[in-house]
This record gives sequence, C-alpha cells and structure tokens, in this order.
Amino acid sequence: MIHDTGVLIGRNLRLSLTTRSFFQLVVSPLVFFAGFAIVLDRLLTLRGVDFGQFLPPAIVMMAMGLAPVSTAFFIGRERQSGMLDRCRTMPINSLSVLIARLGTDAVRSLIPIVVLVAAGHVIGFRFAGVPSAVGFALLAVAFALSFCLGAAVVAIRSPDPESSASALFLPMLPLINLSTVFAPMSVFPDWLEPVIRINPYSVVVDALRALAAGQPVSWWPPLAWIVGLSLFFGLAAVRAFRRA
Amino acid sequence: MTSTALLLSGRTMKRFLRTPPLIIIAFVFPVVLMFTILPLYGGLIEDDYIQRLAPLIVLSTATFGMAPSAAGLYADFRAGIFNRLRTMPISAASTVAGRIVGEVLRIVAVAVVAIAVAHIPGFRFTAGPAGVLGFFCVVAVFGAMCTSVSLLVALTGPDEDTVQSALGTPATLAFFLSSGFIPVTAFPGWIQPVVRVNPLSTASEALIGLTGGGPVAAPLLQTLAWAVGLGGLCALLSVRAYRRRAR
Repeated sequence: MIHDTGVLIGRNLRLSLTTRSFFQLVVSPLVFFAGFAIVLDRLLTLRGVDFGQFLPPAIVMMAMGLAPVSTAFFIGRERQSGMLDRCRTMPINSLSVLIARLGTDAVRSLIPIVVLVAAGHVIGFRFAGVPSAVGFALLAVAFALSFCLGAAVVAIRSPDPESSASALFLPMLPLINLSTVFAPMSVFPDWLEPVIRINPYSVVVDALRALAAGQPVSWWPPLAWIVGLSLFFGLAAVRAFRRA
Repeated sequence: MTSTALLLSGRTMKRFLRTPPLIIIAFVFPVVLMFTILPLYGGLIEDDYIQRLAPLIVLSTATFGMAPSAAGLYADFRAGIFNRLRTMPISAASTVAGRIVGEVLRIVAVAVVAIAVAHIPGFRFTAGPAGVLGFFCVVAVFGAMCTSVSLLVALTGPDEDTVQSALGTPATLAFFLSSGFIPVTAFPGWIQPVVRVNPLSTASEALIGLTGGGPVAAPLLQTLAWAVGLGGLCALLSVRAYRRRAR
C-alpha cells in the first residue's frame, strides 16, 4: 500500500505541473500578499500591530484555506475521466487513492508557505528559530489537510464535482474574515467576539503567530480543531471512497 | 442585427438560469462577501462603511465574473455552438453584442438583489429616483466593459486555464487597490495614484456619489472614459477576433 501510494503521489505531482498550479500556488498568494500589505498596513499599524509579523501568517492561512478547492477539483476530474474507476479495478487498496491525494496536497501546500515566508522576509517577518519555522509549516499543512478531507467528501459525493469545487470557496469567506486572521479581536463588535474566538481560523493563526515569534503557544485549541475535523471528515471520506 | 443580438443575449441568460450552481454562486457570493467584510473593515474604517462597501460588492460581481464568463465561452466552443452560429447568416458583431448584453443583464440582476440585501445593515439611497436609476446604469456600463475585456481575452488567449488566471488575478488586484474597499487616503502615498485611476475606484466613487455620498460628475466622466476607451476597444477587437476565429 505504501508503494502504491508513492506511485500515485508521483503521478499526482506530475499532473500538478500546470500553469493553473503556478498561478494558484505562487502568483495568487503573492497577489493577495501584496494586496493586503497595501490595504492593511496603515490601518493596522495605527492600532499598534507589528505588521511585519502579523501579515504573513494571515496570507498563509488564506493559501491553506484554498487548498481544499484544488483537492475537490482534482478528485472531480479523476472521477470524470474514469481514473478512480480504473484504480478500483486494480489490486490496490482504494484508500491509497485518498492518501495519495492528501500527500500531494501536503506537498502543494508547502509551496505557498515557502513563497509567503520569503515575501514576508521583505516586510520584516522573522522566525524565532529553526524549530519555530518547522512547527509553523507543520501546523499550517495539518490545518489545510483537515479541510482537504472535507473537500474530498464533497467531491466524491457531489453529482457535479467541478462546480462543487468553486462552491467550496464560499465557506472560507466567513471563516477567514470573521477571525483574527486579518485584524486583532478589538476591531470587531463585542457581540461577535465569541464567534471570532472559537473560529478555527482564529485559533490556528494565533498559534502560527506565537510559533513564529517564539512565544508560548496554546496548543489545545488548534489541535482540538485539527484532530476533530480530521476525524470527522476522515471517517466520512473513507466511507465515501469505499462506497463510490 | 439587433434582434439577433437580443436572441443571443437571451441564450446567454438562459444558460445561466439553467445552471443552478451558477445561480447560487452568483447570488450568494456577493452577499456572503458583503456580510463578512462588513464587521472587519467596518471596525477598521468608519461607521457607515456599508455605503462604500455595497457599491464595491456590486461592481466586483462584474470583475470577478470575468473568469467564469470566459469559461462559459470555452464551454460554448467545445459544445460547437460557434460552429453552428457560423453556418447561419449572423454577423460577428451581433454575436458579440448578444454575449455582452446577456452578461450585463446577469450583472444587473445580481446587483439588484445585493443592493436589496444591503438595506439590512443600513445601506440607503439618499439622492432620489434619478440617483437609483443612474446607479444601475453605471453598474450596467461597467459590466459591459468587463464583459468586453473578458471576451477579448478569451477569444485571443492560448487556453482556458491561462485565460482564467489572466482574468482572475488582475480582478483580485483591482479589488484591493480600489477606493471602494478603503478610502484613497488610507492607502500608502506611493500607491494612491494607481488607486485613483483604477476603473473599479472611479466606478465605486460614481456609485457612492449617486447614493448621495459625494461628488458625481468627475468620477462618472472618468468611468465613462474607461468604459468607452477600454470597453469599446475590447468590443471592437473582439468582433475582429471572433471573425478570424470563425474563418
């Protein structure tokens, strides 16, 4: 099974070498980085935020939030092209297709992280040390994968996978905007505070910022979200893949 | 020619209305975008931020619609619609015009819904019926410009993926760098000239003016200049590109 998964990851990665991927993983994160850097710099610096440390984790969260869209896109395409059916006729475990998809998405997620950390360096973003950088990348990728599992469920069950891929963009908007990703808690009206506080995007981005700065990290909230979502979506995905 | 164009615009509309996911995304996306941006940037900027945000949301339906609209064109190519139209005595101009009118109808329909919903968090027209009419006319003119750009890029681009990225990325940049998002003076000084000439800024300012929140004449003229210059040029070139492709 490990060998099968490896072969499939290799195949997925070769199929990822497209203009679309380049735009998704390199150009678009940089565009968002530049856009938010220009728009938010004055507004947040006025509020006493250390903008250089604040912004890169925000855009990393955004790139991680978009990873599930391509998970759904690729699974949808493999379903339509008959690749999934073909894998089923072969003597391999049907789960290796799912695991290979996630492995590929993990590698794909690392690309925008590297690009954004490099861009962040220009505006003064620094890691406290090598362990904090490694922890930062691992936490971000784990967060992306827990949502990719959800996207896999949607893509395998939806009748029209290509449009479900674009619809996955929608839940990200409230999650990312109503969180501490782009602004500190004090900006929001008081009645929204409980929502902002419990939002997985808030707890993960707070942990990423603490990790980067070398401050003590409260691990429980982000890990609870990631493990919980992964278990929930993971079981659903395994069932969906076995049945499909 | 006019009747053919209207017929084809009806087809563009019907194609949209018969694809439920497209409808949901088209109508839900702007509303979700509006309600999630509002508490964040409303807290950062000013109390009646909805007066600035609602116009931008309406206009961004047109700019973010450029890539999907190009995808629709490619779907039509694959389905052979254009080969079929080519065998009929229809001018290229009416095909292009039909496409633009159809997309503009969609953009205005979404704008009406989004503006109706924007009344919940306090958006108001305070410049009378003429202002309301002018508001949706500007939306239509801006939508026609965006559709022409998207048509030209789709007709001359190398392949669907590249075309979609080439339309989506500038649309995102234009969204950020517009005074519909945050006021010009909140931008760093060096980028302010870019923000001022951005067509999304001029159109936003025109719409804000037409709701009674600022000057009308200057941003309106700038927006018309963009629409006639860029939109007109792209429409003409699209007709040529279409003819060449049809040969």
